[in-house]
Amino acid sequence: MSRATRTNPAPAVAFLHGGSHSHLATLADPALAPYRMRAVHVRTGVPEDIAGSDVVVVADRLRPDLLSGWAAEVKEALERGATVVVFGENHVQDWLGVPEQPRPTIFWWWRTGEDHRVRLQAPDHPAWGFFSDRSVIWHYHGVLEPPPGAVSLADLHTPDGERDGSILFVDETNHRGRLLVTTMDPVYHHGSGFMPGATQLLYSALHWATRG
Amino acid sequence: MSVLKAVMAPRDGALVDGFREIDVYDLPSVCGPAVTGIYFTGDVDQEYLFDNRDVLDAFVARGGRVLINGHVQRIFLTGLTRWRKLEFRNPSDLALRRVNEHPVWAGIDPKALLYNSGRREPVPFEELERIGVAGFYGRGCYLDMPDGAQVVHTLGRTRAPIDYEYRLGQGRVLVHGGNDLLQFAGEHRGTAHLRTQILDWLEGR
Repeated sequence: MSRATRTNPAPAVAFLHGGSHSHLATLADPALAPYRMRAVHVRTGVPEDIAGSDVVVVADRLRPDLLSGWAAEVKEALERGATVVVFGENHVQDWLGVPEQPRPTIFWWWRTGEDHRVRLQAPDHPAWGFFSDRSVIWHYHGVLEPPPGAVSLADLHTPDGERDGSILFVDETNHRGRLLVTTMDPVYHHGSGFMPGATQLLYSALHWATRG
Repeated sequence: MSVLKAVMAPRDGALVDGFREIDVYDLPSVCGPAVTGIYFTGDVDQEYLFDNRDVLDAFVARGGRVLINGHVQRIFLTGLTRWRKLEFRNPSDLALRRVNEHPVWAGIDPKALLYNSGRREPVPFEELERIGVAGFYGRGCYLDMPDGAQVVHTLGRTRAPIDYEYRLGQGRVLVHGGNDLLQFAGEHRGTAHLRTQILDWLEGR
């Protein structure tokens, strides 16, 4: 059944988290309450907790040893047509098969005036109806190599001006569902009250996942 | 006697910089009588700690010391209260003011804790005011403290408490409401002794 013909129009959103302060603060955010996100703990949750979800959000900075046990469930959600959002610092190369290389975080560029080296891509992509520039230009923790058919929305360049890799891509062609992967960690920064751009990215990603 | 550092990752109890590093999920089995203090990194699973709050309460009640970093969202130890985010506009809203001396911060200039920058060498404060990013040390506060709690630092014009200590049974609890305190111990800040002072306090000295 397509999203438009579903009898219950409110998408079921599962939020896979690890009980850290920023995860808990995000789950308690009044602005996100209307999503009625189902909190699924990466250590104590069971596969059935995300089995019926239309949207699965993998919060950033989960323990690799705990997250790896969810690989099959998250991929299964993607293949049955769910929208999956995977935030940063989650070792996606190990369990999602997306090549990733770490990059140092330049958190001070806005104070020194130096180039953040983030370059927005695919300006005509419909996802840009959901994301502001500021929501994707604050910092990053690595670069990804999107699979063929996926679209990078933001690339990181090297100091020499060469493309280094993607820090945010959407894949709407390789699975029945839609996939968004980023090396930004908005749940941590939103939940810990640090960096307005992170809040914009988190809110925008949920808009995209539930309305796009 | 040993001081534990409870972290959010698999660990085997190895001694690192004076702390015996343990996986927070192993805490109930390792916080025995030989442990004097526990340093909790700020990213630990607070739902797990809440489920095991009796273990931590008993540890402090019998004389243990704990240092809690970060933003408390679950009351996993008697006396803790929830962290509140500050509405800040600029570094002056986050400037640290010491209101009571504390052995952990002895000889540490609060100005040395305010800014982070991309540089690893000493940077004059005047330059940090131009290029530094404030907020790593703290961007929120604890307003509802237990009776007898002693505030160490406040932030900004509202004098919002960020670091405080209270007694619980025979033990003591030190709360730092920002990024992990050990991140602020470093030669380039002139604060290398912060680490040993944390250890000393957690050893009960």
